Amino acid sequence: MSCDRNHEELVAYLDGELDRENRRQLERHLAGCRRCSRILDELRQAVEASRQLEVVEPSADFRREFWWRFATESRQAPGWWAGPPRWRWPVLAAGGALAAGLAVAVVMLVSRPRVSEADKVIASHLELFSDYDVIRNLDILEDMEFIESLDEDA
Amino acid sequence: MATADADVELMLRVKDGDEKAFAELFNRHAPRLVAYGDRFFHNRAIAEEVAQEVFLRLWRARKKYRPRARFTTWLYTIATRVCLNELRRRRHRPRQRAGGEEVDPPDNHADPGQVAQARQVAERLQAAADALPERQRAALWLVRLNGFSYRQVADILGMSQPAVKAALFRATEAIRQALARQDRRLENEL
Repeated sequence: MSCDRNHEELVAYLDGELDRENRRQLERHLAGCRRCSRILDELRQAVEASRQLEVVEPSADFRREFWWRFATESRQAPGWWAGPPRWRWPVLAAGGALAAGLAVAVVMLVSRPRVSEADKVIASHLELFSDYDVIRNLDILEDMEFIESLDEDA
Repeated sequence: MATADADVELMLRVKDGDEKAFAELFNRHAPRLVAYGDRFFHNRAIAEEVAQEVFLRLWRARKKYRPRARFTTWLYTIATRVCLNELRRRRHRPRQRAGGEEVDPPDNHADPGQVAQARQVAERLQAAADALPERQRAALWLVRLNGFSYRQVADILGMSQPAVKAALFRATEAIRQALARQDRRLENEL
């Protein structure tokens, strides 16, 4: 086994990438070759140094920034906008007409007379209020007749 | 580190639009992607942007995902492509960290001489790695930072395993020579 060939094998050996047979052959060679053993030690130092190099941690804002980017992208225009330019203007015109129609409808709704909560209660009990006898027998109306009779007496 | 099967399971959920599974994959793998990007740019802000871009691309491409290989193979194929494209775009080969960037404070208990020597070794090593061809550089950090096998690196970089083995040898040999030059220089100074 030549030394030149071994040098390429040495790094694979250090990375644990040699199969059992090649590993045994290399270890036999290393036992009798001081030059290769010295180079193996130096390569081991290089491998260890590259493994132990400082590993940066993400900043405190990293995750928040990512989810902001993700949300921004998710809210952006869907695929049609990225399509051929000839489709954009008809789609925009149709969208504009729809928006104008909606705006008119909203203005009409807002300008209608407001319905109070009391009106809603009366509307939900229309049958009751249309029955005059019921209304007449209500205590409050009897009280009013009594008050009016007091005025007459006076 | 998560198991490969769990990652694949999460990614299959992401494929169906599950944002919670996507968040879990992000939390598991994004920090290591930042470290991988930092090996190319030596700048945490750029490395973070690149890692974010990788995950945004992963989300956009989620429907194309097929669980043929390990999830990390797919992830680092995208990541390496983004890193190398960004590197070419920026033509960015700094030898030192960008000014003003926060780095870990030095260990107060360590011997200042040893700290200075360790820093010199790191700078020498980084300079040697930065001078490597792109694929050798990617192979180096995929193995030495992430602990990937040569086979996985071959899949990520689209190379044969013997080519990965040769690339790792050349990269390590370049670092060995750079460190040996530094040792000789230190001996001459003494």
